[in-house]
Amino acid sequence: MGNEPELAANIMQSFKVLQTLPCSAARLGSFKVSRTVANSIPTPNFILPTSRGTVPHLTPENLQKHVDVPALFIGLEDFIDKVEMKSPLSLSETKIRKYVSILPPSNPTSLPVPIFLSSRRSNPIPTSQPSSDNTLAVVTNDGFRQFSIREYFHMVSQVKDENMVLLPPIDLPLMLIPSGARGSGIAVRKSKKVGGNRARKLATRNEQWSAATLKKFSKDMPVLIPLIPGISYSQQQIYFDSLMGKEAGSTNKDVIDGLVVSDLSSPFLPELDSTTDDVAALGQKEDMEPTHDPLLTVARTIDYKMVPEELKETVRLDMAYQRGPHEVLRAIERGSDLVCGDWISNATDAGMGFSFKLPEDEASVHDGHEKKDYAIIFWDNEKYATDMSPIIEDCKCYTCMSHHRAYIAHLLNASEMLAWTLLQIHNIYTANEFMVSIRRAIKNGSLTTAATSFSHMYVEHMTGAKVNVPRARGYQVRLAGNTDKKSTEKGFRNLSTGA
Amino acid sequence: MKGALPQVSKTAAMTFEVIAQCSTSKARASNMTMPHGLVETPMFMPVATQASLKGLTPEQLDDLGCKICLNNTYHLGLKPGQEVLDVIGGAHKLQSWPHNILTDSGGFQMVSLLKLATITEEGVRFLSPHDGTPMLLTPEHSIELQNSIGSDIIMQLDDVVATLTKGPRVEEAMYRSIRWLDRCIKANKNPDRQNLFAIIQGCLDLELRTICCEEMNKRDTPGIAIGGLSGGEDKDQYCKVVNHCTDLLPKNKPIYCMGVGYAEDMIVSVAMGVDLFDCVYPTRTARFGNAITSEGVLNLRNKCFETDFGPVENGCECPICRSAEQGGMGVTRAFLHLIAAKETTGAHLLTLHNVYYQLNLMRSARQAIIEDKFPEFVKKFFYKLYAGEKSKYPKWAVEALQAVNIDILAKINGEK
Repeated sequence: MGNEPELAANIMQSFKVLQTLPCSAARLGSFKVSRTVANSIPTPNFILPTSRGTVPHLTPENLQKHVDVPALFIGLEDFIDKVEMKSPLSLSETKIRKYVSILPPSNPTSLPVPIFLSSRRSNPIPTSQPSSDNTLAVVTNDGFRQFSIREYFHMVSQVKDENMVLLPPIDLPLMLIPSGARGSGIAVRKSKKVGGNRARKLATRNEQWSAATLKKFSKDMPVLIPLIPGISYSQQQIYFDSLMGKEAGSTNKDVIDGLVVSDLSSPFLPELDSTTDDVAALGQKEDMEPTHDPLLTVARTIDYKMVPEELKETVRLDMAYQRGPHEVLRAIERGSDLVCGDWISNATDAGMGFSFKLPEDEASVHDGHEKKDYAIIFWDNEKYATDMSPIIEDCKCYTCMSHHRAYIAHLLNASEMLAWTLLQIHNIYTANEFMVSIRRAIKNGSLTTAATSFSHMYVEHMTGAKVNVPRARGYQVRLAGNTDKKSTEKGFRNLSTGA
Repeated sequence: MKGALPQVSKTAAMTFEVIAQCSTSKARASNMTMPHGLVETPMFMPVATQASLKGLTPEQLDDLGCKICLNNTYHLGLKPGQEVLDVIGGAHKLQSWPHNILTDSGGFQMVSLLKLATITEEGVRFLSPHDGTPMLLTPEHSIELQNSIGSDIIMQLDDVVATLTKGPRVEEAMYRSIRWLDRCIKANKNPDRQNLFAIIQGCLDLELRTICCEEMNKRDTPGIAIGGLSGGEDKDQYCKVVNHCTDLLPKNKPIYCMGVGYAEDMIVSVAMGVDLFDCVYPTRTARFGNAITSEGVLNLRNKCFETDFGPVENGCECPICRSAEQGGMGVTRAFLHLIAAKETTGAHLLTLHNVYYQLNLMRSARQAIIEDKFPEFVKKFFYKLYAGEKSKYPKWAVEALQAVNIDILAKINGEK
């Protein structure tokens, strides 16, 4: 630890904008995730959410060996219990990195993968009860619970290490759809406008929680402050003024390292349509975007110009649920530096293997040609049964180097878990490559052209993907629909009766 | 009963050589060289039913030291199907597996699906689980499928009846299995690279088993399996049949006990002279959240493991138990409790551990045989499994091992 002025200087530099573009809000940057070591994430980039501490389908060993994840996201609600105040994680007295066996990088000179630590998951399930001033309503492995803010801070102090970024608890204006409403024909209200009183309460509560988080942790780790979705910027002006010490008589001198923006439309809110049953369809569906008030700070429409001057050069984490690479590009063009990587795991769950690339030279775009799919949907066994080529020619990922489309199609159609493992390795690899080309395009000043070409080249909303076993149950779909349905069909029938 | 070394059998697609024999029991260690490399026995073969070992990459399986795994003919015949396998060029290419593969014949599925099928001299008739059309599995068709799969060891189609069956049906099935072996041998297009194994039938009737062994020996297949067991029979009866068969079978050929995979069963069977085992148990039980250890099976979903921050088994060298510093993953019981049976990775991790346990158990047994310390090894194995409480040793194991001159109730070296 250096002396105070040095420390302050370090903190100031947690995010550096390296390049901006004239006709796009996209920017090239570098986000230093540690106060002590030179561990930085080049931006734009994605952070990959974990489920119960694991990247879906990847053992720690495969994660270390075969994919290069820019950063992981962990929601502590996955590690607390409904009944006991003492969670196993707290009792273990270990750092969370060790607890969930995130391995050190195989290259000893590389730095550990950064972890974004949050109270809730990346796409939190709306809770049935509201939060209170001192507790956050969460969904644990055992059910709904009020997670005390103090307990959250206590946990963070225990599990943190020097390559971590912290998100304060956030009170979101999400409401749970009454059980039974789904599929029952009861019209489900779309994200309703947050009322004045509720908005004030949200602002006050988040102000208190964020201020406390900054005070406790911003010396040790970068803290990203949430913008409250669903209410206008002016409604949360006070909240920001207070955090930045602009309020009269404020002595707040904490440094804000960045902003988190989220969305009102959780993929778990079945607001889209009550006939679809699977997450992919929910995620992929081209729904009528609710007409957003342009002044609202919702991730999908946010205009970062509204953000106070002092915060413009800080990192922006977009936690909205992206429905595919098109939306990711749009988020980056809006000016987001980091996007949530749930779209990668969800594509994997849906049996998709990414086949897109950001077109980097003009020649690769042919106008008038039919749009291509951005992924191969391996459920189409007929098409890929004997296809011995890799998912993408020249792809250097483990899956493409060692296996072929025919195997993946076979595994997927046989419901073998390895299908999703191989797809996940490839999809993360491809997403990384995509981010590399986006950064290169910003550097070359060609992002706007590349993004336009991309949207001309690839179909945005693909059909035919579906989520089947084995992750068709669990947190990510728990409240989103009927999960008790038997997912496998009876194969054999009685020879004599045929029944 | 023991023959002098070297006992070697060389066929077009296999060299089998017994390299060491236990001086007390019938246990032996051997080297089996096949088109896709060397297999050191005794060996447990994990079951990759549909051309994948339950979530593990072939690379991970290879890293565990696995040199041979099973594929299921019946399942591969349905998915991806024979035509696809022919185009791809077999199961090795399908799953990018550089080592050996054994395929069963589909015969076992008859037992499990007995009510849903009828067996005639021609073959097995059942309704396709895909579209409900009637299908016929004949010995010729089974071999043809296995030829398409290209496995290094192929099994004859046998007429399997439930182990506890009695009466003329057993005899019929046994004789039919012999006739079907003849048809299989005739049908095998690739004897130069695929080893056809005969399967001894006859349920628990030792006389029928004798006849079957004699008849199968005459057919001189590269290896022989003992089938029709592990079907709910008493363990002592199982041991009697195995012990009886290993006495009658040639000493220079691999003996494979089908469907056996509990640690105790394997150790006792090795003592009786069995070389190869397979079972879905270690991988299946992993998916239920169970870890196999030398001190018994742990159900990691139990609340008591929630705050247990040790490895699955202390001193275990598997990739999940070894610490990160030792190049492993350093997974704790508490973390497994959190994800077992909930995240697919939970199943993957326990599968790694359990398969490693099985492979390692057989590796240690082999080492003990080579050093001629096998009886001591067996004694220590039971001592550890039952935490030194000899009164809890299963009677069948004590008796079966006595029959091959190993007294596990006797003191082990260093025991007070």
